[in-house]
Amino acid sequence: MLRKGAIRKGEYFDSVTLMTVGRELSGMRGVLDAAVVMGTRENRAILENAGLMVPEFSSAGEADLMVAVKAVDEKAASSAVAAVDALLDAVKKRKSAASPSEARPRSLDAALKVLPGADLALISVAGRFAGQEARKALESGLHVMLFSDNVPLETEIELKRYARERGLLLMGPDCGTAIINGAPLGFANVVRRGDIGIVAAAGTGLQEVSSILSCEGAGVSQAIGTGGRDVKENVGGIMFLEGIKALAQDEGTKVLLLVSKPPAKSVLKAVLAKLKTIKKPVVAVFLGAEPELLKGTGIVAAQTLEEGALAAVLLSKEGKKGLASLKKVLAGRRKQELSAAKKAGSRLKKGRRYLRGLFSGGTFCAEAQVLFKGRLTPLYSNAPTAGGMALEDSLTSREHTVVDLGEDEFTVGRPHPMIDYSLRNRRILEESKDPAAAVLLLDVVLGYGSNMRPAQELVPVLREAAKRVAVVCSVTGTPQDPQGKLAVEAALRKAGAVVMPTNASACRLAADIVETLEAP
Amino acid sequence: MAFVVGSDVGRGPCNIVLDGFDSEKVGALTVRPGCIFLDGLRLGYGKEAVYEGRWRGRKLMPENILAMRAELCAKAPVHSLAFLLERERLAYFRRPFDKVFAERMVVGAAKIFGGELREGVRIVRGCGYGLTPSGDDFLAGVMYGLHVLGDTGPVDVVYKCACRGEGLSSVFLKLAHDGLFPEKLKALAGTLSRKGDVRSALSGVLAMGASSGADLAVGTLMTLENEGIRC
Repeated sequence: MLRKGAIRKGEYFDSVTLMTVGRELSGMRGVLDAAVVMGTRENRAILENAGLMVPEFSSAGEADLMVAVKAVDEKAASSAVAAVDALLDAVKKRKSAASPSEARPRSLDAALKVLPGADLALISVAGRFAGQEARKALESGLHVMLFSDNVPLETEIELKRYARERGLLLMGPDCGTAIINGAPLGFANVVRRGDIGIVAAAGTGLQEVSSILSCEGAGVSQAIGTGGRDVKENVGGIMFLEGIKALAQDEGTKVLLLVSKPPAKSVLKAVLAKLKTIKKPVVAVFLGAEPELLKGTGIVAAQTLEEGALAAVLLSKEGKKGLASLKKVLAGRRKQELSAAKKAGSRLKKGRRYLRGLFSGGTFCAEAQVLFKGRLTPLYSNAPTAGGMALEDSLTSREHTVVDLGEDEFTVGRPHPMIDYSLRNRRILEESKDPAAAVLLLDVVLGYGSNMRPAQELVPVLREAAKRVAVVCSVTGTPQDPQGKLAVEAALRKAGAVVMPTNASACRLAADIVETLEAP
Repeated sequence: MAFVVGSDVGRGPCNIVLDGFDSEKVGALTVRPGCIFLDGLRLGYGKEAVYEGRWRGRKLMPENILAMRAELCAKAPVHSLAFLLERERLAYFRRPFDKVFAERMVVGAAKIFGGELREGVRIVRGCGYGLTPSGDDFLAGVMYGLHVLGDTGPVDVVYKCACRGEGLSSVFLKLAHDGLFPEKLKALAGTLSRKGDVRSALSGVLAMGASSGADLAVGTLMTLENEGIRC
């Protein structure tokens, strides 16, 4: 029997790699035992007790790697020591190849075999197959997030009724985002965990409120997306109601935040009836809805996503008494907007007087129209709401115009504008060259799924546009997002854009700038 | 000392979190107030980007500590120190070196929580595999556990007996001594004091290193379960 040792200076490996290599060395022909460990005094003591110590290890330092082999003869021991470097490399390669991201089952059944404890399926297949896959997942007892769009309305209704019977959630179709038990799904941001539960029939709306409240130091318990059609008359708000029910029962949820365009009357009635049975405080942002609709219900009615998120934060942190400071917070922001407007407006050439909003998020385009109502007229959009007028040609702006670049007319055969900036970048330059355009209003949405290099792709275009028009942006996201909100904001500011904390704030500022130009 | 890491590793008292950079290829790093230089590239940061690693004590919920134990026993890697919680796991330590190591850890841990703190720490420190030996990760976990309990009296003793020089382990031990938590461990500590998802918070800790996160969590949990340490 023979013991042999070697020292590798300054080589660092994790514990699993070292254990695996030790085990593989031990399995070599003629090797009785082996260990590969860092050269601490204590490890030397363990080697001594395990019969693996050799004299040369006494000079090993803490940052050195000790290779110890006990073998039947010199040849076996030398072969083992010589094989260490190759084994360390091989283990490293195996570990990176075996990373979970490489395990890609090709069917729901196969996925359930890989992860038998799963209780949610995210489905993103072509719309015509999506219903079938969703049904299969529901039958397997899984909640479903249905990312796919183009799912027929009758399929949606049928799936949602089936899910409700089984006590499951069917989020979608066309559900772009959700956060379940802290896991961001689809287009979602890295937000803090907390006690605010969100139900939203508006994807970017959900991203905006969850990001705002996270940046304000509060957090999300669950964020349930329902898909925009859920609150229409024919679907009847099935999942909006189920979402509310789930959050009411969820012990981790203290405050409910509801986000949607105005629901159909019958849906709103059902929602209000459900909320009457819930003791937790509720904030509702039904963009464009008349505030009277919620009067006397005890629900905090917010006009914007920003107001809704801030109200939820105050309720979460301070309870109902906290709401008293909401007006003050919003008034402070308003003051900043007005002073920024004066500055930005004074730099513009005479003759420029119109606003052009180019949105990647549909909810933001809707919110802009709600905020511009009565302030900027006439207002045109390819997705008109809140009194906005239909734009005849979505590719050509007129007077004040806001465009939702996420509408189907722009996304057929190309990625969503939150991912692919090329179409909007071209439009930014075109709009800035229009001698009547004064303000460009943009949203930048960060988080998983979105463009990973927003600053690099936007900065050259904004720098050019900012020479002619005022560029006003908001960045939806958090500092923890992969793109990093703070870095993106800094880059956009450097390119000449005015960056506001929320879409609502950016919209108000944009309207303020236009109004300074119109003022006599 | 500073580490350039990605957001998968997460924030920590010595971590500079940068996505989109291959940290292994970073050559020169200079840190200045308000900005860093990475191979000459200036990257600014605001006050809000600075991580606060200190734990603000709150009352712990015993049921959440139980949940942490159950989850740790279920999810810790086989070659982690979870055998200190569940002796059946010693079956994974069969080779001579592994056996001696595991026995040493069992004896050391028993002494730490059995009134022989100094002796126990000296047995455990520096033991085991990995760049930061498992024993050191465990002791860091013990010190973090003491900070969570607000019982920082024995922290100095643990640190003085554990620290052996200038290596990487010494940096982590010093951070634990000073009560500067990595973000993922701080998040876990947070879920122990309120109704929250202990499971997903623990997953974050387990993802720290190959077995370091688990070893750290075992040290923290044992300290919490023993409600501190008798010196």
